[in-house]
Amino acid sequence: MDHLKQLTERFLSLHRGGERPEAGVLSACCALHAATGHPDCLAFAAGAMDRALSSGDTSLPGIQLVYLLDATGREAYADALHQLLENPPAEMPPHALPLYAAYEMRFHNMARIADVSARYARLASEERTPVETGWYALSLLDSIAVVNEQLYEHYRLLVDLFRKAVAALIPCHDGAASALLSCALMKGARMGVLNPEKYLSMGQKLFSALPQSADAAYLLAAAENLYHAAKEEKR
Amino acid sequence: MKAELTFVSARSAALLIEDGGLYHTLKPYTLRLNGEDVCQTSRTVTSLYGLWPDTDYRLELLDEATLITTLTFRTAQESCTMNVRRFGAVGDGVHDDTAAIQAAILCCPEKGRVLIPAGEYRITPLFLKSHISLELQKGAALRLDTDRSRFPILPGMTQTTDEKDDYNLGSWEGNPLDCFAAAITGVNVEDVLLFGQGLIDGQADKADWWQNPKLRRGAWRGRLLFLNHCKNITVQGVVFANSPSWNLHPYFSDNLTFLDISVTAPANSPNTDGFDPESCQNVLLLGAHFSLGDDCIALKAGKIYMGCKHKRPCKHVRISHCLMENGHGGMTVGSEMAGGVCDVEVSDCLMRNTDRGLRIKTRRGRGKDAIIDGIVFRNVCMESVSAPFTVNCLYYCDPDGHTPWVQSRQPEPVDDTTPYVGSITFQNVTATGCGACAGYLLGLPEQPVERLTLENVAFTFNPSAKPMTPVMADGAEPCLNAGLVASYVKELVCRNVTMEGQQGDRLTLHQVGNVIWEE
Repeated sequence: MDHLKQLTERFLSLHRGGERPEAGVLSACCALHAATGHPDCLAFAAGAMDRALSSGDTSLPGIQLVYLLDATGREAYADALHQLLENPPAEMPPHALPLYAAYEMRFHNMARIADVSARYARLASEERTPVETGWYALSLLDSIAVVNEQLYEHYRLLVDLFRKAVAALIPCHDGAASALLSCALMKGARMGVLNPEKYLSMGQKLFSALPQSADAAYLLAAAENLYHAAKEEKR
Repeated sequence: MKAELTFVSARSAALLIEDGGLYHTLKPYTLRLNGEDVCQTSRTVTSLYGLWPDTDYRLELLDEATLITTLTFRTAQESCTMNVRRFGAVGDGVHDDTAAIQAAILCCPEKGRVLIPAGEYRITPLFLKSHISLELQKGAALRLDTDRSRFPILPGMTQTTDEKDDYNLGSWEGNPLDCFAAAITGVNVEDVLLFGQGLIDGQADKADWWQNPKLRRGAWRGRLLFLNHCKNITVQGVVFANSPSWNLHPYFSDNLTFLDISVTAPANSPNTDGFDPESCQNVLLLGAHFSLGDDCIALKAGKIYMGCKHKRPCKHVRISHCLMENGHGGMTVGSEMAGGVCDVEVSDCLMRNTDRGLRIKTRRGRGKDAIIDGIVFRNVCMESVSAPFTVNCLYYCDPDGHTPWVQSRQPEPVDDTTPYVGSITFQNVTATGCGACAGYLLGLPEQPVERLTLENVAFTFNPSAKPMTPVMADGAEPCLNAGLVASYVKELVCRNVTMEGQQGDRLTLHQVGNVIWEE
């Protein structure tokens, strides 16, 4: 935990004062806040989101907007959700699809969940680098976490696409892709989407072989690893 | 007048008397067994208990002193009886008797009987084994625990080790989801008889199952009897009461016989359907009584994921000499019917005070395998049934049920998500004291209901009835004493159909293709 705290502070200092941080950076911030409760992570993510929203930037954020809404209760975040997603754009990057799914579940009576799963299905056929596949897999997990399992055909499509993405990534990971894969394996196992008996240890082994780093992908994996480490400690 | 033995086991038998009566006979009869009077019956289906295995019997049926018929039969063999008391079951209503009863089940040899004698048995879910019978004797009550934390969960889907498929155990409303095990669960069992005059009480009225019923708390609510991939199962005589959700749920199971059962739950209890075979084939339901808080009978075949994956309809279903009271539907098809429901006959039944008689419900999104066809009601009597038949293809169920796509009255493309309703036939049906309407059909504009045929059907109305919305679809309005209301139907055939006391036109039609009306 101390290591993680140090890495978190290094991560924050690297990205403070930056322009608009990438979605991965915000994702890591929110994951670290969820895992550690570090208040600076929440403050950093909220500050970055506020700057983006007030600048009139219409490009879609990730599900961190919903995380910030839940963590802070600020109406401005709910207003932003409605403005951005009442009429969703024709094309959406993978990182924005969980936000769309969350919006549909929470504010739109699930009316367009079929569109969410159809967009993921279209993305599935695109060529991606290992790093892009890693972010795509994590995006699927974020959507799986919010889609109601009673819409099973859509929920299950996302699960199947995630499993395929992980299967494609396992043989060809490197560098940042390794960190993303280890996060996907550990989080997929935690959520019950992957067989934990096989994939949790695979993810943990992969994580323990990674060089410590303050980049977003590593910190996402580190935050995920914390859940499992905490569980082991309780035993 | 006809009498036949429809079922004989080692310890019981079931007699069917066909004198023109439906659930009750037209007059009482005396049954004499091996020369001794055993009972008087006014039931078209009567069970006999306390028989001895591997024994010849002579059954005489008398109308007062007159012998009507004599039937001879021999009971089946039995290997052994496992009395649960010998396994340590106490039956005092305090002690948890689950382990003792489960031990008796697991230790019972083939063709053996697990005997639960009179007593109050507190249990958590029990699991069946193949090739045994389980008798709940008169005065025996299995009372299900009220603490869900003590219930095992049946996982919905577990990926196979080679990761090529899934193993499905649990189910909830047509999807393969985690659910609590039932009071009695069978998984891959065959050749089982559950019988007797005892009671299985889910005690949901004393637990919290019916509070926040649409929330998953731990897992989805269990049933009283859940049969997953079972075959050759008979249930005779048992009373089922106060289930957490659906009462009897055979699932992907075949060759099922349910005789002389009784299913009850309070009228306001949520989702306490009586008998919900799902993707089952060769199902016989004879002489059953239902009085509960949702559909008495609901034939199901899953939602689109399971329907599309397995394409397993619910088919070859015979429902006869039953009494359906107080539920939402007497005999319902759907709404989860993505695998299709076909070849269903309901005959010689009495429906009393249910909201609807025949109730078909489906919606866009059930899929192209969701085919309902060959539904026949023959010789059925409905008393104070508000709407004798309804077909609703815009049913607003599921989290997205009220979305524009599901509810639109504009034609949507016919595609892989569009269900189909084929042929529905009512023959020799009388419906007295109708309330809302004679019938209400709401097809899909893009895929209308194929054909409704009414032959020798008589409707009379109760002017003091309360208005009721006949179908649960957005925009459907309450009706009172309306005739036959139909929208989006290809063919409507009415031969010798009478209506007395309806308000307004006997037919109110919107986009109905061909209408044949013969007096």
